[in-house]
Amino acid sequence: MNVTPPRTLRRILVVEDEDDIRTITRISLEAVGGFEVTCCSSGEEAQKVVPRGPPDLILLDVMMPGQDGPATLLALRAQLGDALPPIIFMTAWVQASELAQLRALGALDVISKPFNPMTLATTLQRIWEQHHGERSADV
Amino acid sequence: MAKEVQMSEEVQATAHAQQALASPSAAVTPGTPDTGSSPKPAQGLDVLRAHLKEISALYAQDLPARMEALELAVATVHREQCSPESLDSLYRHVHKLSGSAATFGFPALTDAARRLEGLLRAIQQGTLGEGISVEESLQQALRDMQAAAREPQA
Repeated sequence: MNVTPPRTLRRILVVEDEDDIRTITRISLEAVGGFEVTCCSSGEEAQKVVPRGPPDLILLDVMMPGQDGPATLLALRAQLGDALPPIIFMTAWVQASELAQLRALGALDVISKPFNPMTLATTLQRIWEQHHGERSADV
Repeated sequence: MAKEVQMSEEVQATAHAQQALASPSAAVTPGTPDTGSSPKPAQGLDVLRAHLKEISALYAQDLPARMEALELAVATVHREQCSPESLDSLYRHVHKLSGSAATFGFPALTDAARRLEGLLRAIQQGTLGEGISVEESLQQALRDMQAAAREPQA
């Protein structure tokens, strides 16, 4: 049986409206994870940035003014179809029903806010490897 | 592109040094053994700690203004007798604090904000227990948050 090696996670787009959270997320992913990080402060901005060069992964805040995270996911999916990169939501929602709604939209996973910046890169890497492990097993 | 929190020259210099290490050719997977030119995980954590300390200080500085905005939002809820718009606006203020405070050293504030979020949900869904005063409950939740905002984690 051929086993496809996991694709390396390298480029991450962070979509977050809060300046301080966006800044610490970027620094955490760059300094600890060694990832290339691009940031957007709104879903609308992400819709312009993503089609120009889709990242490997999108880390998407849920509650943002204007277009929120779920609406952004749907808009990007309409724009990109199968080329839409995997999306991980970040949210301070805690209710199981709300988290289930986010997963039902097709998100790879949901990360709870507030998060620990010291472990964020490792968490993303683990989710990424799990995802690619599952995909390899499907082949 | 998105603007970012302004940091001191010292921390920015460290960040630039780290960015050089974290260039695409030097990118590493967390947990991968160090091979020389790649950023060392421990070094990356030190850089992150320095930034986190500085951004947390800025967050603490900005907290009184955020709490003031929260108080105004609570006052609006009272004035507008729990209009859906005023409750939604208050919820957004509280949600921002619940999702960020613990990251920047105020875990008790995140806990208090989550309790207020729960209270707001109950008000919005009409499930607040009979005989419980909305006004008193909101004022108590606000006092809890104000107390928590004065207590950063040691």
